[in-house]
Amino acid sequence: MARLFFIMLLAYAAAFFLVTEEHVQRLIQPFLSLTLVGFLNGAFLHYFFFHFYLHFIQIVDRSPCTRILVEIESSPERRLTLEELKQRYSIDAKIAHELDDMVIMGRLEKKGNSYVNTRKGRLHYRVFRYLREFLRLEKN
Amino acid sequence: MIVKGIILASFCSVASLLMHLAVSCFRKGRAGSEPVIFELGRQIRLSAAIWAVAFMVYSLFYFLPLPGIDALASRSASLIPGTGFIYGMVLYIFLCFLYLTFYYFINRSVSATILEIVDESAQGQLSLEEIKAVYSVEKKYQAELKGMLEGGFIVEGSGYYRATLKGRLFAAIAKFTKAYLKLGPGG
Repeated sequence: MARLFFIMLLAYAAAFFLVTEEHVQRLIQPFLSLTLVGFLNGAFLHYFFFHFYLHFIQIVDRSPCTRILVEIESSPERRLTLEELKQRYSIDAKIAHELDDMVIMGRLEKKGNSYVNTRKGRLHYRVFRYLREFLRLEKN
Repeated sequence: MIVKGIILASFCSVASLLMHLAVSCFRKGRAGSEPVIFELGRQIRLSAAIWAVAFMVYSLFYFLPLPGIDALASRSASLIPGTGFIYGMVLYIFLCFLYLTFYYFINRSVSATILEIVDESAQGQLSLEEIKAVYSVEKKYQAELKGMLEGGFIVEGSGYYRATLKGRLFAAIAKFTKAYLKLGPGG
């Protein structure tokens, strides 16, 4: 993916110097005025900063990697064995929390001791599976 | 007009961030016994409300004739050579980032994997113990550590895991953010 990113960056640089501003304006102006393009561009930036900030909070709060790093750094000698790590941060508990959250969000329903996907959960799962298969990603 | 949009959007986003940080100072944060998702949900709703109000301010200022901002926009466009090219690159990186966050969710989401495990089970329902048996907590732990070793966040030596400089920096930022936003241990 990184390779594709850099190839497209080079393509962008080449296109920037080949395509004139007049060409772009002629292409866009029948649909959007320059004022509206400027407004939408700013609106996208505003949304992007919001998305970035939320993603950052989510990573800091929910990512197991972040929690593991914080546990290592908070230990007296700033180093931990696998067993010590497991004692301080149990992924077992992480899964139990995750299940509680999914019941609250209405993606799972608890029937006795078992968990069942709700209609919303099944829909999320199908979208997720389709996208994962489309991107040819392995099961997590 | 493009530069005016960039200036106003940046200003409104920074103002939103500062507002969220200021409000977070007075919040109680996560209560010990409540489910983990509650505080995160409250933080998301608060940020969304602040950003939505700031978007209205952005829209108002964008369409209002403001001589000061118009002059600043035209001056910055003429002062910095290659503004258009640099901004195009920044926009390209931002779009890549948006795609990567989506990719990250598809690849790493624990909840999406649990939905899949439950749906693919013979009876369409599983207990906590059965989910843990299929999910393989041990494998998940190993996968997280492997990812962190490959990403250069930690190193392994004589049975111990230690954070690298990059890992230490990230842990310090995460610790500060968790404490400031009162998010609790998380994970």
